[in-house]
Amino acid sequence: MRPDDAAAFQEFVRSRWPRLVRTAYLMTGDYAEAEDVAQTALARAGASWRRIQASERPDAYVRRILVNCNNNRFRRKRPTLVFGDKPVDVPGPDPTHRVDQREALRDALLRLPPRQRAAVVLRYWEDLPEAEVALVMGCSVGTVKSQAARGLDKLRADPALSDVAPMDGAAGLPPSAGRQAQREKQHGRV
Amino acid sequence: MDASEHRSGGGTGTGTAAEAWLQAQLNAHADEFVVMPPDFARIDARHHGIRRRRAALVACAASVLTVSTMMAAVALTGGGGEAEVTTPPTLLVPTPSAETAPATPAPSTSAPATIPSTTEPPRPAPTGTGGTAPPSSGAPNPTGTAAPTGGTATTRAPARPGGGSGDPSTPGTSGTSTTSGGNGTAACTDKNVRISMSTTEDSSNHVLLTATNIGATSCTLYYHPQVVLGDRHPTPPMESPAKALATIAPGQKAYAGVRLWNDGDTPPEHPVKSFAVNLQGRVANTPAGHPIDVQVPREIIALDVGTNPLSTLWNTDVDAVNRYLYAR
Repeated sequence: MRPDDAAAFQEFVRSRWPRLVRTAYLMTGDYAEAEDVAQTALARAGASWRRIQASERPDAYVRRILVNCNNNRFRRKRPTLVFGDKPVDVPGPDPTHRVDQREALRDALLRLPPRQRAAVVLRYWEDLPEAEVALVMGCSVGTVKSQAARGLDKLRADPALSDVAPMDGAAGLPPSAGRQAQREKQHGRV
Repeated sequence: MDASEHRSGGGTGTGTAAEAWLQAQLNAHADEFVVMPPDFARIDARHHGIRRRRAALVACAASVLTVSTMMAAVALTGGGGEAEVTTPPTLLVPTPSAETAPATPAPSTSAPATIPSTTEPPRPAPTGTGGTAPPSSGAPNPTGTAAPTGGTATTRAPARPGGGSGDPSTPGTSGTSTTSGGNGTAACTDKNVRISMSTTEDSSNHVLLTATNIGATSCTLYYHPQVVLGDRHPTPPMESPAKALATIAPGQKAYAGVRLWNDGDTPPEHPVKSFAVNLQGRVANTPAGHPIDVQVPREIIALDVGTNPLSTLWNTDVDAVNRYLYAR
């Protein structure tokens, strides 16, 4: 890598690193894994840096590598998915219920299928438009919509989050009840 | 939140209370810890390792080229034998939306006249490359790849990652290919390729993808299509690592098969009515253009997808794809 490219790559890594690690953490549920996935993604980006730098959307490119790295990790480690080290807490008061809530959300996220989790994280944490999520995940916009909606439904219906999740309408139906019934009707299940 | 962080922002607009709730939860959850600074030395070491492996791959391809040249020399001096071609057991019918495809192998139920070709020359070859020229053509062969005696000698395409094996069960790795195929041509993208799907009544487990070059120049389909079916991961290639390419001139077609499910897979929760096909660039697992959406035809209604769908490598010979696909 030429010195100019190396400097640009270092700057890119420095500016994107925290965000990538946080995104990876939401996808993996493990800080050490998140660092490893982010590092792998950036190493791959570094190997093709000139092409990525010249592309219109280097961030989308690197996010896509990150999602692929996470998919590969999931394939390798699916049977032994273990919730490992906790992230480093910010010093200061941290009410117990808040820690519980954080762990509940992390566990609920990990119960989502990987692609649903990726769609939820990219859509609602990265705050990306659906079209860009589709580009990053390599799927259609419709798939992003359905994956994100199902992920949201599952999180709201998760028992660990039911205390804090908002309910649907005045009837107070469980969040996913309406959508699930609609799907079952579509597939002819009774 | 670190001051130096990059925020893309502005995507969702949090339309519902539930979305706003989830966004707030995720923000709170992700921002609750301090991210350690990046380890530049380790990142550098890892990306240098990747580059070294790529260089080793290139060296490997060069050695394959050397072997191929020697084999061609042996064939030209009378060592070439008649190639064995087996009849495919069952064939899918390519999409009926075929328009002019002058040099595309005709989808027929008979055995192919030539050994399956991974690459086709971007322009009609004047010298019977691919072993299809009559023996009497007698024209000098600038590529040095086709045999003048009966068109049976074969060479492997050089500079192809991983090289060819000659095994007809590995589409894209066997047969008579030219040295020009795929080299120097750009990767096909959603801009210059249209993809359609078809199935056969004999099997609900196999789908044939047909890619048609609708652009003005030749392009290359690298490796295999990464197909995203519902909430499944992008399809990995069947068995062997991705190592093939298929170059198609304007109007020509290339094919890839998808195996939707395997014995023992759990029943799909949501049948798939459309899916996305991701083309790959020269470097494996790098995207070439945007995903291409493919609608399942109305008469098929939906596809049942197992837990681990797979796709074959791209190939310009539909018979080779079928033969490989239905053997699995």
